[in-house]
Amino acid sequence: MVAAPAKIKPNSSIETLYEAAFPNVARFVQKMGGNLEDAKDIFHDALVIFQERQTQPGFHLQQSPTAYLLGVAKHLWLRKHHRQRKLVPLTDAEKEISIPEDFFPSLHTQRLLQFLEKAGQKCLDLLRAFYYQKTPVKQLAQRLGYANEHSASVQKYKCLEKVRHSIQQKSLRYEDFHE
Amino acid sequence: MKTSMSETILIERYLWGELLPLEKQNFKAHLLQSPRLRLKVYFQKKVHLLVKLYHRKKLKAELEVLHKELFSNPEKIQFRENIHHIFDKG
Repeated sequence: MVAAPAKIKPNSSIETLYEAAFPNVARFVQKMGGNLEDAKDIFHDALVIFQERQTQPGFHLQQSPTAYLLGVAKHLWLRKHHRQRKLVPLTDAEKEISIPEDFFPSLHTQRLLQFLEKAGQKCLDLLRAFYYQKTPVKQLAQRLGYANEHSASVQKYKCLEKVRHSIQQKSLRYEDFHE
Repeated sequence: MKTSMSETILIERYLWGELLPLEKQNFKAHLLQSPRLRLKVYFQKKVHLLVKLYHRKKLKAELEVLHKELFSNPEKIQFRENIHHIFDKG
């Protein structure tokens, strides 16, 4: 069974940012001929990229978060709609924005992820908590029912090995047929 | 011979740039000699990528919930009308 997505707390900073920044992105997408669904998809991608960038060392926001999100949204839109490039002037600050290279993974990688979500979701959740949610090991051990921090830490490496092994098997099999 | 787990930990430290200069030098030398280790490093990197993609997917699912909330909560009617107004123009 797939767990329901975690709920973002009401009045959290992300909710405030959502309300402040979405109208600008919606106006841009509407102007370019898109609909509400297009605006939502692009805006969610932009928020994910913004959140990721903020955690990267050396990242300095050159503009307001709302302006940055609009800039990312423009880049994402232009990636899909190359022909409109001349219709979308970018400010100097927007020209500096880049979309992470791995943001649009290959079909093979997407399939690997789908496979892992079915076969190893527990490990994916554990590794996500370690790498991206920066959950302290002690808290993680309690949450996942491990006796102590050491057990949780060992489990992390076991998961890393398990996932690595299964994608290796899966990839080699894929390459047998496709390369 | 290293145990599997200690090697995994070593690869992890290498990928996160946490090895000391001498450790890094030894590790790189070992990488050159060992196709097996190169393969492990390649796939461990791939695990990192997949966890990142999984994290993004989860975040987007959370944003979807927030979006639905903002478009159904009676307290957010102003926001909602504002957005609908933008698309009604088209």
